[in-house]
Amino acid sequence: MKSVRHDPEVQQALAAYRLASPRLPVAGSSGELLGRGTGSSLEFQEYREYLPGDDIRHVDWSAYARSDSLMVRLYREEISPRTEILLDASRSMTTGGDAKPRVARQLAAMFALLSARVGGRPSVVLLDDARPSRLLSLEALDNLAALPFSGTATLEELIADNVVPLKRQAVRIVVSDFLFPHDPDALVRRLSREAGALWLVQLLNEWEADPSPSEGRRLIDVETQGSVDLLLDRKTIAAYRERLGRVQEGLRRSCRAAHGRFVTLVADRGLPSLCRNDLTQAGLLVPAA
Amino acid sequence: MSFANPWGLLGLMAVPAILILHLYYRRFPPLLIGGLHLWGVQTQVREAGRRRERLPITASLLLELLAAAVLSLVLAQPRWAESRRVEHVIVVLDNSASMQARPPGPKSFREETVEEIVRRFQRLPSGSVATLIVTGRRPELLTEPAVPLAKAQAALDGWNPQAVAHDFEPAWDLAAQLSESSGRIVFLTNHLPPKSAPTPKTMEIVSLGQALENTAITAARWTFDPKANKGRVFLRIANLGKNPTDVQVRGRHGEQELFLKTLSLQPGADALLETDVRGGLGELTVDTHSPGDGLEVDNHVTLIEPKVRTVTIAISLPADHAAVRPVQRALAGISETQFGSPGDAQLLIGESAKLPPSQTGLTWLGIGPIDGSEAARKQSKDLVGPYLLEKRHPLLDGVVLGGVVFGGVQPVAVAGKPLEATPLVSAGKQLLLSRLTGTQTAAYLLNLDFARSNLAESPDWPILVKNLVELCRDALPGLKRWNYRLNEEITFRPNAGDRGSDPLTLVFGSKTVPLARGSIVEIPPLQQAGIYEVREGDRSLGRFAVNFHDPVESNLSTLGPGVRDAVSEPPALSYRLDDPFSWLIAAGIAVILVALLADWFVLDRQARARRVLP
Repeated sequence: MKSVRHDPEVQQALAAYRLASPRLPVAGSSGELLGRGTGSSLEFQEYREYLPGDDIRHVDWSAYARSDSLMVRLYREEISPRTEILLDASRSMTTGGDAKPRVARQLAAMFALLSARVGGRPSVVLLDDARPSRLLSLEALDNLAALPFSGTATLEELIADNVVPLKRQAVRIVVSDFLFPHDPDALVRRLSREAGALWLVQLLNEWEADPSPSEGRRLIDVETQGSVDLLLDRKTIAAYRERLGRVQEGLRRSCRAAHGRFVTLVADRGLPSLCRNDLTQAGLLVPAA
Repeated sequence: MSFANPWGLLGLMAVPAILILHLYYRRFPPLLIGGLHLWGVQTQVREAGRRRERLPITASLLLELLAAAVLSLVLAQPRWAESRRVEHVIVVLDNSASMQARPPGPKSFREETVEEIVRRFQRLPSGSVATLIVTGRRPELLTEPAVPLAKAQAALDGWNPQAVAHDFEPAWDLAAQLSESSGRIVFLTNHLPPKSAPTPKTMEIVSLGQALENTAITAARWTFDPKANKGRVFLRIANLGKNPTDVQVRGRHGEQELFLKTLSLQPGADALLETDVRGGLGELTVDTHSPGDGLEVDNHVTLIEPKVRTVTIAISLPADHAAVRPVQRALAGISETQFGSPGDAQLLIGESAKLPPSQTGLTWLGIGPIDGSEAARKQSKDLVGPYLLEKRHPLLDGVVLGGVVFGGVQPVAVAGKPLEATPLVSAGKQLLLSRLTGTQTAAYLLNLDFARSNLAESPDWPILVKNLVELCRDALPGLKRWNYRLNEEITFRPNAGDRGSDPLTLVFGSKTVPLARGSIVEIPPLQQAGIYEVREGDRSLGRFAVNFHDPVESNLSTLGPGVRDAVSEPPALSYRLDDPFSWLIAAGIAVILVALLADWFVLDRQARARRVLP
């Protein structure tokens, strides 16, 4: 079985991109990322009046001379954040051929490795039926290759059951198709709780993202085994698109409220294309140099 | 609208079959997805058993239903008969020779009749059809039934009425049969039939005739005397008009005039014209001419010179036989006979005790007593009648045997063995004159003893002998006569040795009709006057003439115009033309093909989509 860590496309992405900084400062130990608190980094954040106990090294004497009041310089804290990559390992991630699970593995590995590069202490949380959810450390990333994507529980159920070990102040990257019935506000609220940052990556296959009209098909939900015979005519397709759009818009709106980011990826386009276009445009990745 | 083949509508049973197939036997290919709720339907779990489901209205379903419906229509062959109604007119044409009569003016009755038919055809709806029947003893169709008007009109050009007087009922019956109660029948003639005639109730009768003067040759005969080498022509000329007239009679051989005479005839009178002609002419033509003559066909006669048919007779009776003198006396008065030896004779007269050999072409008369012994003579009977005569036999034509005593009658047996014979004259169970059977010879046995009979003194004796000679003459090869009337039965006897492989034919002008070979060749009644020739291959076996002699048909004084409408209209005056609407069928087949192709395209696209879709 091929190693995800040494996947050429992952390696290519690692060479070409780095993780973008979260919009809001996140907490964590001293590191390469800027925390949301003030610290001792060289990056100036703001002024405030001096309070007893402040480091007098940060008093801005020039400002005191101009304004006759003691002002201290506050500098952005530099942290080394925890990164949690929540990978949806349910059966729905296997639909549409092998592109969707393959890209899911690549994304999880890429985010973990990019995070590790900046000292982010990444871990991959496998969201399958295991309770509590299993964690893959950076060293165990290659186990992703054997991930069967056989879960039937939804992310919402797992979060509600508190089987997902979520760490405080962690940068939380969720890779899922989000094709399970859910309330976007509630889901995002739970995921963003005590998170340093929240990125939602919706991974769909080409047909899920853009189905085309065709004749009758028996649609079988791989997780619930529910089925229905449907004529996939233009009207039905349009209704599906509308509902999918509502889901995506709900997640996007909820993420915005939680200062998170939401992006939809089509797995069939391949990781290089997704990095170059979708992830970069969404502000999750930035070119390395 | 109607359907030529309503059974084709059974094809519509394919419609529910297609619906059932699409409702219960559809095979939607499975597609594994996530997020079934996004498809806006209540999810359901497959369970065993049938479920009522909404019929999917697919393009494939619609195309298959369209193909089934159109196929059913094509099979049923729809007819829009209302727009294609046509009339079928059945025209019965009087085929009598009098239709050739020509009144003063440029047109004959036949030509006026043709014009009347054309006028009627022009008034018929487009697409109408006609059937032309000509009257006669056996009515015939000028064309096949129900032909287009143009074809019927063209067939009228070949209509040449020349028949003698005949009944029209067979033609009317045929017309009524062909009309099938839906066609209009029109009978075109030159005189209205009597109202008592059994005309079809749906038949309209139109007469275009008018009374005309006419003179005609109503009989013609040519006899020949070989001894004098001279012929004699007998003609009967009749004035069938209502005014006195002078008739010029001209006889000619080719262009050589043989005689020319003028007869004055009162209305309704006829005259017999006899004239001698020299022998060896072979053929002569007689023409008559009179002013105002209406009919041409009865003004001409062509006659063939009769051939001599001599019968060779041999008498093998002993000189002291009582029948010798009566036989010789009777034969003396019969012409065209000669005496010969028994081996060459065609008629052999001898003792009844000596039966003749079995020989085709030989006629034999045996005269009693059958047993000449004294004892047999004593046992023989004398009969005075009554006698039972087979009148239909030509040998007894004109024979009555009144007052004749049959003396010396003996049992018909030779050496005690009864002879098989057919009785011609009998008294009780006693055969007096009989024809022997079981032999090819035409053998007659006269069971009497002339010494004890008065038959030789009765007038029946020469008649009987004459009949016997003529029977023998009729058995001679060749034609019996050479001049006939129309519709007369004609027989021809080939030579016994004529058994060649060449076919027998009857030649008339440019027409050749095959004849069935037999011991007697029967020539069917002939409808056209003229010279006919019997041939075997290229060899001529005989020529004869057929002439129009019919005083009834030549009488044009009873002709007259008139119209007699049909007593009742047919239930339907028109019938539906079976127009195949080939363009509609072609269009239907095209629709079927397009629908099937489109269905195939749709199904193929689905199949490809299944291969592409997850």
